[in-house]
Amino acid sequence: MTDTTDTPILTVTDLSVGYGAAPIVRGISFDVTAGNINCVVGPNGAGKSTALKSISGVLKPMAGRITFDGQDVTQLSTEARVSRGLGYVPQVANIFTTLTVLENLHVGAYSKRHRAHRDSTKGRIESICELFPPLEAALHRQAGTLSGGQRSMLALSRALMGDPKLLLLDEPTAGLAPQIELQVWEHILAVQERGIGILIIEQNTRRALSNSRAAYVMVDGEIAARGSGPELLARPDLVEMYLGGH
Amino acid sequence: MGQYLISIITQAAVLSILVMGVNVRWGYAGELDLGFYIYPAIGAYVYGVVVLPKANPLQDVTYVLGLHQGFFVGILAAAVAGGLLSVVIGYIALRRLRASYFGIVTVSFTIIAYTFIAQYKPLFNGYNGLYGLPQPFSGVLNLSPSSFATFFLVVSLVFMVVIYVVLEMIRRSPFGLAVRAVREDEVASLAYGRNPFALRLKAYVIGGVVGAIGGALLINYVTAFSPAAWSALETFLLYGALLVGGTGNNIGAIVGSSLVLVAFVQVVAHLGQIGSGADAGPALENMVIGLLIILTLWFRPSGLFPELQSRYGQVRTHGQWTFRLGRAAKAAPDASTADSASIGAAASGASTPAGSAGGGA
Amino acid sequence: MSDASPALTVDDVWRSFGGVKAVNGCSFTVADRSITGLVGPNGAGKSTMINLISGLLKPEKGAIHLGTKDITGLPMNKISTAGLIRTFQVAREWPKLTVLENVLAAAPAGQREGVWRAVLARRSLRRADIVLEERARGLIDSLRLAPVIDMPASSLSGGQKRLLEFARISMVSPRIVLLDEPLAGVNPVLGEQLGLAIQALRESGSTVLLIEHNLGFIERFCDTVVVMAAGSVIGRGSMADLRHNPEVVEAYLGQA
Repeated sequence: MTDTTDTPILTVTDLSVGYGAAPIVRGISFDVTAGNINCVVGPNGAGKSTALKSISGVLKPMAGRITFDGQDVTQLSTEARVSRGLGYVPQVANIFTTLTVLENLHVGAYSKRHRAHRDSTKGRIESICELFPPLEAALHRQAGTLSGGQRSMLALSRALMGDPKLLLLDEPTAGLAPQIELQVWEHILAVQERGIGILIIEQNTRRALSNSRAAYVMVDGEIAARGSGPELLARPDLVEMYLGGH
Repeated sequence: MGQYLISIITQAAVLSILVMGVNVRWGYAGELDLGFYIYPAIGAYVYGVVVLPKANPLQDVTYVLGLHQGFFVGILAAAVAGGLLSVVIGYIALRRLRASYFGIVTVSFTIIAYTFIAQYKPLFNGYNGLYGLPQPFSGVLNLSPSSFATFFLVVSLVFMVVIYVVLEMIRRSPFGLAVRAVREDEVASLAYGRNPFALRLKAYVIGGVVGAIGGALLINYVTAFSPAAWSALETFLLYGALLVGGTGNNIGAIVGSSLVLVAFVQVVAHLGQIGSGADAGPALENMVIGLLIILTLWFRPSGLFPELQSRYGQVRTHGQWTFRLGRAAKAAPDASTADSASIGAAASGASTPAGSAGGGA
Repeated sequence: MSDASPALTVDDVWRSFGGVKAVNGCSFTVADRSITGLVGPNGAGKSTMINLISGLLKPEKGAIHLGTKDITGLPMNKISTAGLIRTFQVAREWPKLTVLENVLAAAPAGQREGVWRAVLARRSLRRADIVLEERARGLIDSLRLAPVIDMPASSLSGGQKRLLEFARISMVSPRIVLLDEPLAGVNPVLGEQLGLAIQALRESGSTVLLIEHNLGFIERFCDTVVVMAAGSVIGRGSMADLRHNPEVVEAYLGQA
């Protein structure tokens, strides 16, 4: 793939999100450039998931603006954002366990259900099977019977069916065994190599940082540090952001 | 007119007792018992077979017992029967802490009991049921029918008031509070050392005893009782009365039953003949009652007298009921200073930690 | 530290869910009258551990002792009457009961909750009720909940519900209190109040085991900290010690 430009595909400006009176995400601003892996890490309760949910449209922000691909999407529903190319893989309930793998993929293409796009669905399924051969072998199996690693493949693929330009991933490795974690990162890298940008919230800070072009550390609802992943990884005060102390 | 009024007020008093029984289960403990009517039924039947003389097979009437006892023995027997039945059914129905399980077990039991009683003639005379009950106190008092009606009205009102007082005392007691807490959040009750099963079962039994007493009074009012008198609809009407009057509230139970079970019914009956056919009357009656219930709940979703929110007031209640003079010393604590150190000072008023190896609740 | 037996002993406890080992071989002790923190990254098994200790779940292996009493596998209400109270991540009040009723209903049942007693109470028992109500009102005042004392608990704000929890705990004067993320959704000012309330609990003789993600709070208020990761204990000591413990750092930052 040609090297990506530096124009941001997603811009978040002064975003504040909360569930009640007090905001959990307190006025953060950052942008995400196309075709790269960007991650948001930070200790528990920092507001990472909350921020991602408002970017994907699940939560309405209290203040601030979200711009995607040149358009202000702050007030749009999740479905509207998906059809504009902002894909989303939530942490839980991200596949339909009672449907087959193939049916799951078709559901993912729902936003492209108009005639003009229908033919490309077949093509996209083929391309996904190329990307993830184990899924091709399991096309007609019930999704509930898949292993952890295969499920994460499927969750990613379902989002890919919407032909996204940027994928939002909410803690895709949570609760997975270390070997599976590695596999999931391989899948993510494979997707990024196809030119699709990734914005990922991750528990495993070190792995996320070592794989990210741009990274943000959130602490207490604010961005405490930003830079490239490897830069932040090398910072001596990184531990402090998690465990406190001076 | 006088006789008419006496009749419907007596009916209201007796039905209020039934609805108060429902309230103990539903309003206090949150148990939705759709098979409730078995308890008034058992109360009515047991009162009947205790008070009636031995069954006369020549008249094709068979039932158990036939002890030819007096009014109070009959009432007592009914209460005991209701209590025992509640223990058995309650123990089975409340074992699994799931409302759906409870609902199915209680309704199933009532259906089984109904069928058995109706089919098995030797028990309570099957479909024909019990009738021809002797007038209570007939040996002692010699009252004309109209005087007796007034007398029985007074008896019913006395029962209603006594039951109301006792149930209120229960509701305001630590036991009543614990039962309501279980209804609100069972896990929180467990976390504070309560046994939800035991508390629910006790509430269930109280409800059964009250329902059975109501049934015993009911059979006196009607002087007969048969399976035709109880159907699923009856239980629903009791709940309708409670919902309209105000769940959780005994005043609501009384008002609700007076309104729904008596006033609405009478209003419909007096609307006159609408539509032809002998069945039109009762059918219309049920439709109109249902409509009136819906309308009342539409405008007042919590009922006319919602559950009293404030005043645990148990101390004051005891003062009222026993007419004790002199208020309990309820010294209002001094307003704490704005200093947050006061949190420490007041909390350490709690003394030694409860570290004993106490048994479960 | 006193020589008294530990308030809580967790000994090699195991528990899994459908093949996933949530708690595997977890052991630690909580010193009597201490404020001990229990920390660890997400998925470490802290909440499962609290559920196992308090009786919401049964351990598959291992033993749990409250002082010298074996409470392994006992039902939750029996563990509670033995002297262990726990809170929940989302405050569990009794919603339709008033604040006063919430506090009264938390007090140990003792002899007070019999049915007959409701109707025929002896004078001495009624006096006990009066004393209890006074104590409840005192606690409610000290936590500044007096303005809402007769409101249903469901109408309280999240912060007020947390304070209500402390009032209920104080009514019991438990041997040990397990606090499950008491700061979740709480503003810093209220957080201070809760910290002082925790210290007050210790002053009154209770031991506190505190699960929290807010490590600053833990550092301020806890005597010692136990760190869990992947279902077992990987370190214990002060926050300063733990920061230099490579296993602890890796648990929080992940493997590269």
